[in-house]
Amino acid sequence: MTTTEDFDDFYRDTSRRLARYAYGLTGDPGDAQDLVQEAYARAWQRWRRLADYEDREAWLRLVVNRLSADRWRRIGVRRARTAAEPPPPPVPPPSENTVLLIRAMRSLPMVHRRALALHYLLDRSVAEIAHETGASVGTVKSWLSRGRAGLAAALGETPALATNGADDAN
Amino acid sequence: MPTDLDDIFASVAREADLIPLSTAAQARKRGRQRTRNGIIATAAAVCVVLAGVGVAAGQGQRRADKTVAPTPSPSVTATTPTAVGPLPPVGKPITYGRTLDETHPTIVKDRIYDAWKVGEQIAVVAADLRTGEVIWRIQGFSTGPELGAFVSATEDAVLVGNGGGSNWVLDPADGSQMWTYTSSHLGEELVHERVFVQRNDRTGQVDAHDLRTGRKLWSIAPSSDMVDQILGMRVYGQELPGSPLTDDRLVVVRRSGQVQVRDIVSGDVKRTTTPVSPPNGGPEGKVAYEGKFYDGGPGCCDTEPYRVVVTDLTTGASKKIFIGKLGHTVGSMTVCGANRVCLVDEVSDTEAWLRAVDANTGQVIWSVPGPVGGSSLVAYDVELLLGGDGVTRLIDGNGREVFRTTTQAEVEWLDGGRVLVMPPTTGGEVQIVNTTYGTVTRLGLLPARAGTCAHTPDRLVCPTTKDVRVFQLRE
Repeated sequence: MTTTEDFDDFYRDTSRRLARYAYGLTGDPGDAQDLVQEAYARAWQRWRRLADYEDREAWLRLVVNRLSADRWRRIGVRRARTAAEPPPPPVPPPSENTVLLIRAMRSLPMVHRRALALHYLLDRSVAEIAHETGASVGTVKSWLSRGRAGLAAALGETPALATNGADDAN
Repeated sequence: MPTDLDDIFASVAREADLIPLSTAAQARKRGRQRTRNGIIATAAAVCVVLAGVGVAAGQGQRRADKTVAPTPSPSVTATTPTAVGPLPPVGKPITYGRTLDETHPTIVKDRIYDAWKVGEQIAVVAADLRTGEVIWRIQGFSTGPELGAFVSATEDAVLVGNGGGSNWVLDPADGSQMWTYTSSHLGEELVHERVFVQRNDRTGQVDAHDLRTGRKLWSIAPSSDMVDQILGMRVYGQELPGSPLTDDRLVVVRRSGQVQVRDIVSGDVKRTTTPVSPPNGGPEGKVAYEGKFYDGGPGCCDTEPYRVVVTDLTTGASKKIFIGKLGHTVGSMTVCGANRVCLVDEVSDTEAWLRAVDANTGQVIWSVPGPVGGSSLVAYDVELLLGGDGVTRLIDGNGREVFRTTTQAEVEWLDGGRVLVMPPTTGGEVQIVNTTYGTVTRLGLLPARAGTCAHTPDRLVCPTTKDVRVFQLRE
């Protein structure tokens, strides 16, 4: 298999998951498009070395984390992409549920937001999130618990309604 | 709406799955473009950092919370009424022996270094800045079709990289290899006059090496509270691009927001503190200068306004000196004078303000309208080069616009009091602007160039597709 084929296979297998993650962090379909494209562009730059990585998807998410950290970076990504190629097709506006959830997510610290996106959008267990973030299992449980409580408060719910048993996951 | 988070997230996931994505081929194409452009961005960032910390004491030009109206200023345009001759050359062009797309020479003291690809290898040349004569020329170092050839240097070491993680450290005397190292993908590297420090982005491990020998001096092991960023301490007098770090203080920022000051040679911890509003997010808006750590960026989360926090690394004391309004974002930020911070306060997509803030009191010294939709900010002492909206402006210490250019020119600080205006890459006239009066001196014509130029106050070094040339900058 050539390097290009290897990369294209990886892109096909993982880009949808990365789009979910980027959408969960930003709540903006256009931003998610840009971040996914930029993350894979950076991956292609380093593809030979990424081949040695245990979890290349985690590396992509790290790139998305950093690029999504603030609006300023996202503007830079969009400008770079716009200058390089035509924009991807337009996307429909987000639903009311998404708007409410993303608004609530934005009230949370980034670590809580990341943990929630990994757990709920990518089905990662507490142990997997701990491995990816370098935090302890207890810390991740705390992030998820506090994240859910924060979401519940922001959504006008009680925490009890917003749990799914993740604290017991491992 | 559903009351269960599982249901809401499932709805979000379904929407995400409908977002049209670009193709893998487009990502590869963009990656190749990033490789080509990366060194330019890196060079620009270095210039911003180095020039952005140029600070002098005793600038008594402050005004209380004053909004200053822009004043008319001279414009630098692409066309001028009187013809000028070529920029005076120094020595003969240093040939590559082939045609190149781009290279990026660098200057350290009286030396020029340039690197370029020769097939699967990298060629490096060292030349005398005063005469243009080649001192040594070598070839080797593995690179590849998707990789490049980059060079940076201090007085004691020449660092060559292929953009793919492999780096070689050479002896400036003869180009012989002293040691090698591997870069991490998103990690950081700092070059001090005696020490090379790198941070691994995956593990947070920090390693410091003797710059000449590569001997490991000290390390910070990976931990759950991993190191997220390292910053070299800039001090007054290091304004000119290319000057390596000389101060022995290294600032280490951990994920928890804890900030440490370490001796860059020994690794000893000199101070540990956690600022009142701990740093979070990326490296943007963070500056270590003259014993203080400036952090301008978002608060804990999107419902908090952005803020600027200044931490005195000698005492550990910190305070928020500026809090943006909710919904505003901070664009560019830099230190712009003794205990002064300048930032672009982005109000909306149609409104932004450039503000100078007293780093001791938090008082806004002055505000002027700024560019919307993105900006760049490079300070030298209290004066600023402000880019954005297709315009580059020179702003003086009182917030007044001294001159502007709307051309595709590249504008950089030449030294304190002078700005170098270079033409677009297709070639044109080189000019120097006196920052006090806004007067423009036309120096001569520069041919088309293939990459970024390097300069000192009296020399300009620019690559073409076939050679690198040295010119005099003489008013």
